[in-house]
Amino acid sequence: MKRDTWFNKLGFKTNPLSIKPREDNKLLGNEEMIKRIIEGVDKGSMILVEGDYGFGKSTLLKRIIEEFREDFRIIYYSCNRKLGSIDYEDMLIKAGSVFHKIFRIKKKHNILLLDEAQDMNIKDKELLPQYFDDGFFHSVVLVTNGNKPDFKQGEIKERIGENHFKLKGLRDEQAVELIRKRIGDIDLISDGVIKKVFQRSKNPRQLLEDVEDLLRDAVENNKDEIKEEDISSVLDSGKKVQPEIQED
Amino acid sequence: MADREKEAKEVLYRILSKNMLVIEGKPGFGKTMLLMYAVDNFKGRGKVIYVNATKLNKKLDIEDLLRKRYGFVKGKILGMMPKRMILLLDNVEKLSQKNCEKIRYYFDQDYLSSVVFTCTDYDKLEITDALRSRIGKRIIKLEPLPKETFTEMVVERTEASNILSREFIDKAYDTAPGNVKKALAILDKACEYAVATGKKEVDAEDFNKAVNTLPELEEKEPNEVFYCPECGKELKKVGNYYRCEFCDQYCEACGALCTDEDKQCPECGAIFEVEIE
Repeated sequence: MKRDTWFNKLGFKTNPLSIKPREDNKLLGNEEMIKRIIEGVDKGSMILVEGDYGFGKSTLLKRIIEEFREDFRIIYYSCNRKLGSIDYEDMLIKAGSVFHKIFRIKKKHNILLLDEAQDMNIKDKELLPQYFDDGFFHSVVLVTNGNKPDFKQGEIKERIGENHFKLKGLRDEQAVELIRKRIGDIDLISDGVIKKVFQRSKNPRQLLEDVEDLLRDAVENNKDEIKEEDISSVLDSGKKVQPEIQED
Repeated sequence: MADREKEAKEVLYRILSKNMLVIEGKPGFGKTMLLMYAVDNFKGRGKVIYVNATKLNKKLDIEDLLRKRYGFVKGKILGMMPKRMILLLDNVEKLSQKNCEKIRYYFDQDYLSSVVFTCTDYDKLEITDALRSRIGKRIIKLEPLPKETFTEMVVERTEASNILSREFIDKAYDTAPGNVKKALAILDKACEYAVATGKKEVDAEDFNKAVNTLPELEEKEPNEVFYCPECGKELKKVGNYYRCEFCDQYCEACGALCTDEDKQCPECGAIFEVEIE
């Protein structure tokens, strides 16, 4: 099979602008906050992190997993995968060793990562502080997509307290840095064009996708440089692949 | 494939660049054909899983699909997962939140290198926002194949014989504009009737007969297709497992792996016949 994609031609083995989270990815503009989140997890706290789609929630979770996987049992749970309530009992038994499973004993000192926490129901929220206080969870990280996070009342709010973080979007210069880190200083795309592309969506994940499509178009059509007018012509028409012959 | 060249190139590129992709189009527009083209290009490396969502008699379980590729010991007992698989999900109209979540997780963790979905209408597709955010704008909308192109394609294919006149090719297209699969099925049947009655050319009688028997035409689409990571041949379903008839040694009754020394199946207990010379 042919292996002549744009990234192969530019000397990359795989797509450098992949949207998959990697534990070595720095979250530009949020590094200071991430340091505080990781310190919080280390000390033992309940933490709430808000962030839009594509702002780096999955990357943050991946970083936490890498950081603590040797010292703690980490339980990752996505709240939108079940319609019912979270079964904390079952979760804690399963987290343990065979010994825990046979005698149905709950394991203590876990780190719980609750993804899509905006989908937690009232019962989930009520029970969580209990398990936390009883020492089953050393730390809990609640991640929500900022749509309608509702942790403004009750015991869960008391436990979170000051540990409420909002992932920030990128500034223009950071958007450029994000792309340059992945593709290096190639002349094909200028910093100005990257900024213009970023202005369209203000979303880091969308930025990666858009720059990928622009670079692909430029390499496949042997362009020397991506110009500003290419941005809308490539990105807005890219939605639809036109059939070659258009007749009645 | 000549008529969907651009789209085919796009599918291969999205798979190579580890993206999620949606192919949208009405029945018969060539969605499955595009996926089969992808299978042809990537098989043999044991990396492709094709699932036709409409043909699943049980619920779709992504985890199970990935594990099945690894067999009993590695998959079921050790719970190991193959990495960087390509998942092709055909005819998806609805994905449960659980499955969306799993696809998102396995995609993020690179167990799934790339995922291609096909559906009739992406706007109506029931999937989570997290998944939509990852798909972004990677959507191929299949336009109906123009009549001209369809006619040219069929003429080209049947060039050697004069079995089909342009009149009937056009007529077949008109019965289901854009639905190439259906039109070809009609023509195929019409030719069959003509040949069966010793004619050299399809006439109106054959054509009408073909159109009328169309409801009987079963859609022949593959269900789940796996390929052997060793030799690239298609795997055979035995019991709950997919096994390669050339590379694996398995129990014929349940599909569990076994060795030369086994006198009976370690899983289902079936006694293996001993050949007496």
